[in-house]
Amino acid sequence: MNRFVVSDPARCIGCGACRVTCSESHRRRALRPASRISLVKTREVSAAVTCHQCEGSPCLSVCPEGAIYQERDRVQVDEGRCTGCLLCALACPFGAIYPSAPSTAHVKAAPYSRASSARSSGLLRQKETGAYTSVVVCDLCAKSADGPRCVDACPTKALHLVDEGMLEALGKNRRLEAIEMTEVAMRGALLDADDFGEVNR
Amino acid sequence: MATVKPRVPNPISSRDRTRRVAEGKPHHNFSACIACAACAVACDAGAIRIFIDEDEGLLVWTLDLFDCTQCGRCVPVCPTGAMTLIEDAAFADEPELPKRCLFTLAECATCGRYYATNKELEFANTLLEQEDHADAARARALMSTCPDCKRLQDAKAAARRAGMKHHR
Amino acid sequence: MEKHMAVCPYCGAGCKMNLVVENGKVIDAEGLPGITNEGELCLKGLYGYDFVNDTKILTPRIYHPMIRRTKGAPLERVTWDEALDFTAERLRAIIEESGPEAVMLTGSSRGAGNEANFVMQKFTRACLGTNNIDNCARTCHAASVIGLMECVGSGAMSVSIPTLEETDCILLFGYNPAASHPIVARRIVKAKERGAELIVCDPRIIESARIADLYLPLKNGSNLALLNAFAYTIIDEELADFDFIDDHTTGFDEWWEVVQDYAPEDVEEVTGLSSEVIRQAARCYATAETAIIGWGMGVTQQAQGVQTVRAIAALALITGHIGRPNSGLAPVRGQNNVQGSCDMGMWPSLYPGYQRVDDPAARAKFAAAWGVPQERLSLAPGWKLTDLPHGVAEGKIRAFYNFGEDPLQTEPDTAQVRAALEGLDLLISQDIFMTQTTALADVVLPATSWAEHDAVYTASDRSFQLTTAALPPKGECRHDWEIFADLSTRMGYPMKYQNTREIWDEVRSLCPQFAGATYEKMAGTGYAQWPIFADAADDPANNGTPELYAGGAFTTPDGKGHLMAAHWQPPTERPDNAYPLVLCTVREVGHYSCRSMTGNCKALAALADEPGYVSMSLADADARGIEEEQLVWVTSRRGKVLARAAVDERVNDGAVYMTYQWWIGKCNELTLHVVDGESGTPEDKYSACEVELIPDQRWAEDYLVERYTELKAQLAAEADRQNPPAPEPEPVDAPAPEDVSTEDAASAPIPLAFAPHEAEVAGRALYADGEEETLV
Repeated sequence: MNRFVVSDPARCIGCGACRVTCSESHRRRALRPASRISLVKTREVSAAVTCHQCEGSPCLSVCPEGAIYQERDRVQVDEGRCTGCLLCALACPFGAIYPSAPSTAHVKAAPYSRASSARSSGLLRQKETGAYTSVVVCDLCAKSADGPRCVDACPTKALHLVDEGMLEALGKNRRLEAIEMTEVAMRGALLDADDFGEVNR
Repeated sequence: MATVKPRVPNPISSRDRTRRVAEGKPHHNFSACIACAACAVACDAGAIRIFIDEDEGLLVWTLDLFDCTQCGRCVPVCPTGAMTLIEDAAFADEPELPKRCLFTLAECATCGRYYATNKELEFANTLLEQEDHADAARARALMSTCPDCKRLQDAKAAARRAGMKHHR
Repeated sequence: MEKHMAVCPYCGAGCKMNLVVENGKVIDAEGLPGITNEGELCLKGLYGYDFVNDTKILTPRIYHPMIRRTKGAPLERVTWDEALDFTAERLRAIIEESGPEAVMLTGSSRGAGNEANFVMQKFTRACLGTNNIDNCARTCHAASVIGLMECVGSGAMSVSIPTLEETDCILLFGYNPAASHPIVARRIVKAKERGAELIVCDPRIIESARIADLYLPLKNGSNLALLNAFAYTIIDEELADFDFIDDHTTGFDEWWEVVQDYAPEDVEEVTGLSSEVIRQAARCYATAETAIIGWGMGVTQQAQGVQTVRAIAALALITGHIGRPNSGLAPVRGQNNVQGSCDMGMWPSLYPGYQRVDDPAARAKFAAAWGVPQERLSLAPGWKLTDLPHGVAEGKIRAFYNFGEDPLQTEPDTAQVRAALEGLDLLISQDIFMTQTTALADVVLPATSWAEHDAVYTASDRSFQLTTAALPPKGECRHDWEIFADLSTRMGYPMKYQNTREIWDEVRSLCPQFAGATYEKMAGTGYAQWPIFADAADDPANNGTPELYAGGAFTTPDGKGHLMAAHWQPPTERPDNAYPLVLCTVREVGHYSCRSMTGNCKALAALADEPGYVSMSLADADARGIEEEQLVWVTSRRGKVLARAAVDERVNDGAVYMTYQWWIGKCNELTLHVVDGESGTPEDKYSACEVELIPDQRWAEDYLVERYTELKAQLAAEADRQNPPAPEPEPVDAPAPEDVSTEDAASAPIPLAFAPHEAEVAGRALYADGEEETLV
């Protein structure tokens, strides 16, 4: 069973140590520096969210370049091969694939376009500025001998490496979630509109 | 609708972008294009560009051959084969108006914001239909939700696992 | 590769860490199992080290002394001898003309450490002959120091940070640990998991509010009304520890005289809270077996800061939640060594070790130890840091010695501070970076940074810990204490120290409360928590005092806890039609203080950069047509700054929040310089402002980029004056090289490093014409 990083919102303090660590540990290993983790903050929840390492890998299925591959139960991106078509980012059931520039310096050189407003999602706005050349996705720090760096860096130990089975055991309201998932599948809608409002910068 | 390619890497991968690929005047096949913007990303000369028109709900894809350097990099990156090369075309003799294509945008089923073109969503769905894994089915079911909302759902699922109260 | 033990320089938590050094550069940081952090570090600790390597991301380091020979002349690199002689001569002249009271100094609560501060205050008192020395605690926890000294005897935290994890009830009031002290927030999360009750009082939904058992979103500026209502409920419902009140406190009757007017039912309007939730919170705190109150700037940076601190102390006193294990008061300090600055007497009325300057016995002791006649040491308390602007305006302060601070960034009402600094006859800045304040200085003295010297820091919970040098001094940089000692010697009061240990031993000999804190005890991950008396020195098991006031033994002159109350008063500048929003300044989790350190760290600078955000509620943003990420003007009666909008559902309606690190979005241009009458702490948490959308967003983005580039270039040009002119190519027709080099530095065209993406510039035009194709 594939393992992946989940966060415990009861422990998360929204400090972003995971995001900085993700960015830095990839940069130091000559990979794209964009963080593979998002921080979702609502009135009730703060949580770091990232790739679930789906065994069926929809991202891999849609990649026209073969730039996404699975190795040792983890998804990885061949950054040189990726063309940035972002089909994987649309297919990902968790929204955990991000466009990335070669370096943070380059991102600075092309400030976020404000030509289009908040009526478009972040992904679409990034298409307009074109400040990326590849996608990134959590590879569980494949190049690091010590496993995912974010798990170690989190000062409140809110991040854990789990598999679906462990998650099942963890889930107190797992059934509720399953019902909601089916609802999505059937109606394509899940949340009341006013629940939306999270920001991940 | 664009023909769906089998899951094999493109023969000329973007890995080869550093060396000069076949050169020539690019030709764009509108009906095959899904407006994924990979060509715009590859185009260093800025001849291919993307704009979002939120008032009309459109993505605008433009090609201005005036800026084109004939480097040919837009061709291998295209996932649908919509970009092809016309080799040995005489550029200067044939001034052309910039080409402009419009694509309707899809609104997220949850938040209502625009997040992708309908054509690329359809293309991704068709590719996923070739897979019979449950994860592919889940991905298809969630295709009408934007990545931002999917992350929010993931965070809320984590909160439920943690047994946090959901007030409000 | 080598590793050097250090204490993190970014907050009062005092986390122990190793700095990894390779080829003369700090390349990594890793947590060590210190008493507070237990091996964990927050993002500033993990990625806040590379400023040491002079990355020049924000502003360059300074490596050589510089002076302006006359007011307004350009900075000029000189030798140490010349710089210090120049300084000594100018200081001497000012003192001869206007007396020592015309010189004001501020200590550094940051990386410099206790020894440097001790030597600086010794120089101030014994050499200059004034008590005009203060530190940045003035702008943060001065209200806590003053309020607590009166009520319980000591201005410090009465509990230790680790005990937060052991208590049964935590009441957080105006304190956002997740942003200001992630490592303290970690203790709160663990306490919650253990089953402790968590009560959070804050107008915003801060991270702790999310996991709180009781969350009280009080209105901005209603602190004292709510605290008085808590106290009323505790007495009203007979939840108080009346035995404790009888045995260990005084002033109950006068106190109740005020508090009896604050029934929760009567403050619903003022606080915006239901009386039931107020009563519930009061019950929860009062009936817990053990309880700790944690507070921060939300309490102190208010016009009634000191009175609010007294009200907090009163809650602990009437419930007996003080002087017992796992119960007490926790004003958690912001800067890493702000507790240390107070410990070292960087305070206009206190000698090191909290000995009063107006106490003749203390004066006699210090005079004898320092070998000066008693009359040399002034009995009169000196100026406060917040007195500087009007002190200069009235001609009473003529020289200001700025030690490792950037008041132009951190003090309220920047325009007023700038006028004050420019109005000085002599501004001395001893720093590691070319900051905005340093750029104005007449004398620039380059000091060693946190990673380049040994020092003792005092963590927020009174724990002394040792940090060690990972690297030798760079360029001509000297240790802060060496500079003060040298200057003092040149001004006729010789000081000679070989190392920091020698200084620390002098501190221990003069301050009985610190006497047991030897370097040996602090070796490795060791610590010494004051009060730690001489007998503890040789007892390895004795690390000092984790909890103050054991058994209700308060350190006030009469040994009692003093109950003091005051009536709530509305904040000074209330919102009106012109400025309908409340502006509250808050903390950025990834940056520290004036940002000169963290802004020069690659990972942290990438995480958050100019112009900073103004967080506002959905309703307030909607009403102004403002969307997420748009650039806006924030205006107040003091000024107007550019900021980026963060539409945040955690923010309450009617208030906006800005962090104070930014140059372009500098919220201190907007804040009101009104101070608490007793502490001098500014009312940074409450002023009136308005936010408006900038119609031309494209222009605003360009303006932001240009302005930021220009500001950085200005500081870089000032710093560049320390570098010798480029070697002359010699020959005949070369243009006069010296002039050119300085001119160039100042007026060189500024590279547009943040140029807009070209697609944006050309794009719209292209969109206007062209061929249409079928719509799909």
